[in-house]
Amino acid sequence: MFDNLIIGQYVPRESVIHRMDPRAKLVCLFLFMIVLFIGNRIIALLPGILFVAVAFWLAQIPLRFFAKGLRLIVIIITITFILHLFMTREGNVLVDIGWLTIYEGALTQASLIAVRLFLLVILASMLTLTTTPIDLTDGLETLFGPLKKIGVPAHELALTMSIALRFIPTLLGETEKIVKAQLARGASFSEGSLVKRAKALIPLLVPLLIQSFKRAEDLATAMEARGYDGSSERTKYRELTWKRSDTFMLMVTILTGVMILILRG
Amino acid sequence: MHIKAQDLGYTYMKNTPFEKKALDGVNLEIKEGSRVAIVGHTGSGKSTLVQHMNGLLIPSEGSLTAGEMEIRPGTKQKTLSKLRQRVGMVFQFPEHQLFDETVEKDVAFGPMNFGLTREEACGRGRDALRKVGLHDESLYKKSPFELSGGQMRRVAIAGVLASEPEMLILDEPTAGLDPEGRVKMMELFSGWQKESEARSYVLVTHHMEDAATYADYIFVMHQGTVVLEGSPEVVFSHEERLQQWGLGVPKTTKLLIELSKKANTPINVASFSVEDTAKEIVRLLKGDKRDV
Ligand SMILES: Nc1ncnc2c1ncn2[C@@H]1O[C@H](COP(=O)(O)OP(=O)(O)O)[C@@H](O)[C@H]1O
Ligand SMILES: [Mg+2]
Repeated sequence: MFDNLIIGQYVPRESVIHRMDPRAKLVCLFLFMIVLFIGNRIIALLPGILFVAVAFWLAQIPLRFFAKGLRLIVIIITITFILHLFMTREGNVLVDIGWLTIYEGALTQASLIAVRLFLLVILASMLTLTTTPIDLTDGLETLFGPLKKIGVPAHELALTMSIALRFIPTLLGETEKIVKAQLARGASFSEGSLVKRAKALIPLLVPLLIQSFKRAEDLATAMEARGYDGSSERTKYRELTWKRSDTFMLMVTILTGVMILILRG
Repeated sequence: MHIKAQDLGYTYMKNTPFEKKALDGVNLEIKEGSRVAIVGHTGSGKSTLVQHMNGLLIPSEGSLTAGEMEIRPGTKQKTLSKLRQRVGMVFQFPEHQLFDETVEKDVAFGPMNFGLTREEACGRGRDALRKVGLHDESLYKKSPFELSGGQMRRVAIAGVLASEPEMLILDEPTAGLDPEGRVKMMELFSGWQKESEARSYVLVTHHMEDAATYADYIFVMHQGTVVLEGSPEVVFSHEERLQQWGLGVPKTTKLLIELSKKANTPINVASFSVEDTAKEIVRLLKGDKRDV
C-alpha cells in the first residue's frame, strides 16, 4: 500500500556514505543547502550537480527504487517550474504566440529554481536513506548541544524526534491494517467526489488517532516507571566517532561550495 | 463459498530493496460449508494467503477463484466489493477498527457500504449484536470506546457478521484472550457456521488445540507454501515433521504419544477432546489391545 514511500526509510548498505559520521552528513547537507542558493547561474550549479551525482553513486541506492520514490516530488518541481516560466517577466522575449509569452529571464529563473530544489531533495532524501534514525538523532543532538547554554532543550528535541521517527513504521503498519479492515467491511477510499472521499477517511483517522493517544500514554508510563529523566546528564552507550574520512568529505563539500562561489555571476 | 488457489504467489514491495516474497506456488481448495484451519509459524504467510480470499491482496502470480470470481494479477480493486460482502474478515485485535459515534452506527457501517438503507442496516446490526451476546440494548447507543475490551471485540465482530457473509476469515481472532474467552469466542464462530449449510470459515491460529477442535481440515504453511494438509487426525500424526516447521501437536495428542512410547503399545493418538483422551488412557490401562 505504501510501497513507494521512501521518506524516512533506511536502506541498509555497506557504502562510504553509510559509514560517514551523521554529524558530518548533517553539516555537509547544511553547507550544501546554503551554497546552492548562492549559486545564481546554471553554470555555477554544475559542481553541485556533479557533487550530488557522485554522492548518489557512492551510496549504492538502487536507482529505480529511488526514482519511483521521488515521483511526487518531481511533479511538484515541474509545477513550480511551469509557474515560474509563465509568471516571470524579465529579459528578452523568447516565445510569443498570442496569449503565451515566455521571457528569457523566466526560463533561466525557472530552471535555476527547479535544479536547486531537485538537488536539495535528492541530497536530503539520501541523508535519511543512508542513516539509521538513531544515528540521525544522535547527530542532531550533538550538533545542537552547544545551544543548551542559551536554553534550547536539545536533548528533549532529539528525543521527540527519535520517538517520532521510531513510530513512523508502526503507524504505517497500523494504517495499512485499519485500511484493510475497513475495506473488508465494504469501505472505499478511492471512489466518488472529493467530499465523499474526505468523509471516507473518518473510519480510518478515528481509530488511528485513538491508538496513537493510547500508545503515547503507554510510552510515557513505561518511561516514567523506569525513572527516565532527560534533564540529568546522560551518558551514551554508543558514541559517535569522527573519522579522517569525515573530514575529507567535509573538505570536498567546502571545495564544491568554493567552486560554486567562483562560478557565480 | 468455494475457494481455489492455483500456483498463487505474492510479493510485498515489489521492485524495491525491501522486496519480500511471502507466498510461492500455493495450491489449495476449500469446499463450501467447511471448517478449515491454517496453521504455521509466524511469518509463514498465513495472513497474506487469507487476505487473497476477499480480494484485499491481488495475486502477483497465479490465480485465486472465490465462487464465480476469478482474481488474477491485474484484477482491479473496484470489482471486488461484491466478493467482500460474501467473505467477511475478522482481523487480530478487531476492536481497533471501531470508529463511529455509537455501537449501533458502527455495526451498521458494513451493511450500509454494501448498499442497504440505514433502517435495514440497523436491523441487521441489532441481530448481529444479539448473536455475539450483547443483549443489553442500552449499550447500543453508547460510544464503542466506553465499553470494556471484551465488549469492544464483540461489537467489532458483530460489525463483520452484520453484512451477512457466507464465509468468515478469522485471522487469529482470539489473540490476547484468556483460555475461557478463547473458548467462548470460538464457540461463537462455530455456532454461526452451523446455522446454515453454506456457511464456512477459515481459521488462522497458533493453537493446535483450536485447530483440532474447530476445523475438519487443516493446511500447514511453511515459508510461503502449503507443506501439509489433511484432517486433524492426518496432520497431527506427523509430529516430527510439524516440529521441523516450528509447530507442535495438541496437548492431548502429545500426552498419548508419550504414553504410547512408554508403554510400547500403539494407541490411537488422534483424540482431541479431554473425554476421548481419558477413554483412550483407560483402555490402555486395562490392557485393551483393540485395533487402533
Ligand atoms: N505489509 C507488508 N510489507 C512487507 N512485508 C510483509 C508485509 N506483511 C507481511 N510481510 C512479510 O511477509 C511474510 C509473511 O507474513 P504474514 O503473511 O503476515 O505471515 P503470518 O501471518 O503467517 O505470520 C513475512 O516474512 C512478513 O515479514
Ligand atoms: Mg498473521
